[in-house]
Amino acid sequence: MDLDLIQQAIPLLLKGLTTTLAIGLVAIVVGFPLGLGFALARLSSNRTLAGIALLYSMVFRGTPLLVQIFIIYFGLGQVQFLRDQTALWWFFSDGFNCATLAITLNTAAYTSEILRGGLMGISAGEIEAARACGMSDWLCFRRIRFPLAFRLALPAYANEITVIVKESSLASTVTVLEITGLAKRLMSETFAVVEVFTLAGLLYLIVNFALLLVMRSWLEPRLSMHRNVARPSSWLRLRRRRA
Amino acid sequence: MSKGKLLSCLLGLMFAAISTSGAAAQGVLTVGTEGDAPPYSMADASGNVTGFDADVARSICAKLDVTCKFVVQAFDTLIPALDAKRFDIIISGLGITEERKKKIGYSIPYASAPQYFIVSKGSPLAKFTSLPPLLAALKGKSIGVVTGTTYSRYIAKNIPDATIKSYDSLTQMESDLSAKRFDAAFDDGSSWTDYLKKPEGASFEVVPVKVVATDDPSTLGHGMGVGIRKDDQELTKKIDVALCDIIKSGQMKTMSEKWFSDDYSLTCK
Amino acid sequence: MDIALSRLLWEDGWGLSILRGSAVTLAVGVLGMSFGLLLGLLLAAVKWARVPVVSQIVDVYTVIVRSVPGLLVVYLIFFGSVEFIAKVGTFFGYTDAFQSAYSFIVGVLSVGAIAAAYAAEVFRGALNAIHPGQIEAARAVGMQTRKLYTRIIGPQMFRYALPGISNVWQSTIKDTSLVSVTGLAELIRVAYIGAGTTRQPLIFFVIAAVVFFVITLFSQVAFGLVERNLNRGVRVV
Repeated sequence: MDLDLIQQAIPLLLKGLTTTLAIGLVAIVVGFPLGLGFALARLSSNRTLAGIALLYSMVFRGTPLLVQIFIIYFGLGQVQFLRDQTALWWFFSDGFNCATLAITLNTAAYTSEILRGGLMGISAGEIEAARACGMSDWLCFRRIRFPLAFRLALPAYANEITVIVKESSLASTVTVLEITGLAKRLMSETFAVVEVFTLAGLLYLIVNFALLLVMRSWLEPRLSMHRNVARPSSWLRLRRRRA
Repeated sequence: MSKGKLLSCLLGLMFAAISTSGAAAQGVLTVGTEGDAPPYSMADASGNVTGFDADVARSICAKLDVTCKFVVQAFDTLIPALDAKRFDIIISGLGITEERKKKIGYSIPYASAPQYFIVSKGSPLAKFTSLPPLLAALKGKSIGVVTGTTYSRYIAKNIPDATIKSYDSLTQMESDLSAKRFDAAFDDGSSWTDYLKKPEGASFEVVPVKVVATDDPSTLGHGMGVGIRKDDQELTKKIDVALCDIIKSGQMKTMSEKWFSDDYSLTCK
Repeated sequence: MDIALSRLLWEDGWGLSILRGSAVTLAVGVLGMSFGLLLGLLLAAVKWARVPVVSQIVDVYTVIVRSVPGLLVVYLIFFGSVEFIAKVGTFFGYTDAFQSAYSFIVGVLSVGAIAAAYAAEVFRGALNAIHPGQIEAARAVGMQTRKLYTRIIGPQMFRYALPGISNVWQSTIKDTSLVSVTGLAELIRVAYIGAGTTRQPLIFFVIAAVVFFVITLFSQVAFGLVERNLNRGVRVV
């Protein structure tokens, strides 16, 4: 273990961390509302809307993210029309933009499935009660359906956020210098493969751990303050029963 | 059938389908090469390698009376893989630098090509004729290089303010160059000669400022050599002898002119 | 456009290369998944049985592999010990061909390692879903342990795990795209080379996407059929 190398590597990889977090932030901020939109479309009574949302979900969940990134970066880069429009080209010429767009579209598809599950998991009684009280559709959604769905979906969405952070590493294949991209560059200069990649892996581990910790210990209890939330581990209950 | 046997059968079938037909147990030299850098090393989908490096490799193998077997990998992964004994030697336009010498050994240098910048036709950068003002003008611009090459090291050291776009392979960089995703690219003159011949190269021109290894040997190195593991002394000696033969017989010059339209071969002392 | 496409596929031979690449992708996916399922089952059993030290190690393994990007796992195994991979190759009887199969083995191992971590969680959840009362009852009537596993635990675990395993398969077959960075001639790599050579990235990558889409669609249907078959006779409350 070369301490010099580690000292050299850490600040460089931390620079990559800001890029990784930037990709993640955009993906969550844009992807979540987009996913919500698609989830509502899937559940709507309008057949065309539901069909479009289903197609979107199947395409983006059924193909690898790497291919999606390549199509947006290389494929769209080939389209002469895009190259001629300065505004559009300013966006698509950058690897960061293309990769973030692909990751956002991808996570929107998965988020739509998660939120759809959450929305479908609300017991019918609550919605009936809301309607009986005379709540409008929008009020019912804002006060009843969305908060309940979000709480139900939170564990799965927390998982999705860690997946977003991991998927950001694929941006390195289109010249984006996030953690993995910088790790590769560092590896090609110092040839210390195992050390550099282990450090990079450690960095991802720390980020995901921190995210999960925030989600589980702060967000989840905050949303479930109305009941005592014992850590929902079935194996814990099982242990007590067996003892 | 037990799960284990089924697994072995499946794996065996897959290996049969995928592995190339039996390499001979003796007399094989595995050569690591990039496969994605015309005109040095080009590999098609089935793994056949052509190019200057492939020709050099085959002539060495002919002299050593062995068969050449090529392993194609991204350029920046070649040296670690050589260390991990994935192949015996590297022939892929590998520049000889002090940094790399710490990790692997080299044969005698066999060729040296000058480097050039390439820009869009009509770009103000094309008007420069000497190196220092060109480097100054490139400050703040985006420059494309291939990851792990001496050229990327040169740019990182001499134009630190430039945005460096690193690509895994030359073809990938050329594809983004055609799409005008960055302002200038820096690589061997031979790569640009090859690129300008293609239809996409029509709207580009080479800046007539020649950069040679002696301009900055700490990053650009001392010519190209065959990469060999440090402890493989015997192989190094054999390859040195073979290379010397090839250079002295004029074969290296012929190969260079075939691919680069210029003689980039070095002399053997 | 249609004429150009057919010329590309048939005359220039790219159609065949794409088919071969798809076969390699499927091979890596299937073998990786098989390896991952076996390993995952083993890991889940260890965690379920709560073996003192080993369970913790298994925990660490699953947490790490699920938190680190698949790309890094592939790179680490790719640059890791070549000797180890040579041993794996010779174990299955391929001494000389190991060199060319190196990327393939790396692919299978990395895809399998990732699949195993997720599969272990799925199997663990499935094992926990089996009502402990059934196990107590089986022991109370004096059932042998082997019968307990094959008649009680096995079938139920399999049924509970199936949806999760179908998810693991979907992400595994997509993870095979990561192996393209090792140079293995699977579908994405072939598409990449084709895109570079013919300067037509859009066609090639869209074709690759379509192939993956067909594979995942087919898998979804297949798993759905198996699920329905297994859940025959189960009352849904």
